[in-house]
Amino acid sequence: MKLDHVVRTYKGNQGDPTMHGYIKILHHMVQGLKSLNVNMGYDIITEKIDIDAKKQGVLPDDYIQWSSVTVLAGDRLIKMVHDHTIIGPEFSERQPYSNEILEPIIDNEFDYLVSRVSPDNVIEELGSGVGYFNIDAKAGIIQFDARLDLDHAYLKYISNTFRPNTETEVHPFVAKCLVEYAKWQEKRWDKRYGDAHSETFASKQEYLQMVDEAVGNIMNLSTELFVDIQNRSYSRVPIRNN
Amino acid sequence: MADLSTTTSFSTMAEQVIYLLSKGLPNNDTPYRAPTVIRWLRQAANKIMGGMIGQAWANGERVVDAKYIATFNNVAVLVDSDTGENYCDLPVFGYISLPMNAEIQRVVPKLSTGYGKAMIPINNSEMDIYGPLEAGYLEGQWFYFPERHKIVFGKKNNKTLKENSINSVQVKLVTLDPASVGDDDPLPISSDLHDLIIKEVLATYGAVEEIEADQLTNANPNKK
Repeated sequence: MKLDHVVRTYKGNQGDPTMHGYIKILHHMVQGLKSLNVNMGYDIITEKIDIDAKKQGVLPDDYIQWSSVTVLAGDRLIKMVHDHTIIGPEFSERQPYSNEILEPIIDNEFDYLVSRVSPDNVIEELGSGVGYFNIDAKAGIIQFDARLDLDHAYLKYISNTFRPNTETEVHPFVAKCLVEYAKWQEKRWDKRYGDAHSETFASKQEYLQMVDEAVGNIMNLSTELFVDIQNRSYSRVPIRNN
Repeated sequence: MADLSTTTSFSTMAEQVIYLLSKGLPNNDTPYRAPTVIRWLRQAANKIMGGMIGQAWANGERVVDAKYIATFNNVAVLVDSDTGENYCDLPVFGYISLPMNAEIQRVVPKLSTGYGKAMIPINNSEMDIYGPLEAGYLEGQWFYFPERHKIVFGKKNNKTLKENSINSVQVKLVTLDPASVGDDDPLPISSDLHDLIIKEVLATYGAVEEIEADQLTNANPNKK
């Protein structure tokens, strides 16, 4: 269910018929989502990158690692070639060849094409004549080949987190946790409540209990999981001599 | 027309007040004029109603009695010439004041297909805090904040209401303002409050209950 619906569920539980205080509750729930480490999952995002006169583009704030850079050619997206020899005027330093996870795909293609075509035109084959790019993650810049004649490209990248908002979908069990979390935070921060510490603490305990239930319900139990747990928890057990 | 034997109106209550103040049928020289008394009655009604709703609010009750909610349709969306912000003027000024500006119960945009989703109310300057945070994205939702006698609308997907071809909104207010209740209209207030309103006005006029003086002094047995 959407985070918007979770907020409305909370207000419905309170019997509050208006939208007043919505954003504060949403804020609590976003914090709750983060506290559940739900935002630690990586996200693959494709974003349009505008290319300026210097043949540069700006990387998104949540950029971690690129997956592909493509351009729209007719009705197709064609990949550009990563060339680490390209240096932009604002590059922080000469970037080392760092994309060891994804680059082998291109390397394999390179080798394949080298074996198929002559080395002289292998780069053109690989890039389909589209262009080349290099990325300086530290400077937050993507530098394109100086010969490139395009005003935008599409960057597919791994994002460090997602930006939860009212349209973010959450698991129903997670939603229950967020409702309890918001209730606890309201008691903590709202001066009007004036609850005793013990009551606020009780709310926290209710939230933690809901988290335990959610984890237990969401986790897929399987034989392999138990075996994995067994293997991970192996430790030396002294033999008793009775 | 509603049967005023079971309900009342400001005009009827004004007659009662003037009758009591005049100690009978008023004559042409009476200093008490109906329009003035009606004004006092409206203020008394707002005071009592506001106190009652405020007390309920303090006790955690968030549902305002439907009798006290007025709906204003087709309130025009205007554009601030300096800032470009879209806003609308509050339809009436005499609304009850509640915490979190809850006297503005609901604001919805008027779309070509009817009325849309209720906008999210924000307190003034609250977006300075939440704007940079995730909660400030309010993806796909309209929001507003009240300021004096107007409601200022935020942008959705970087576009204003006007840019989305929305030219009017519906506003629901907690109010007893003259624009929503005429002098002769049935008064949308619980009947148990009618007496309180009348007595509030009488107290304002200083008309307290007189203790009738004892004409015969029989405390002193020697007095003849």
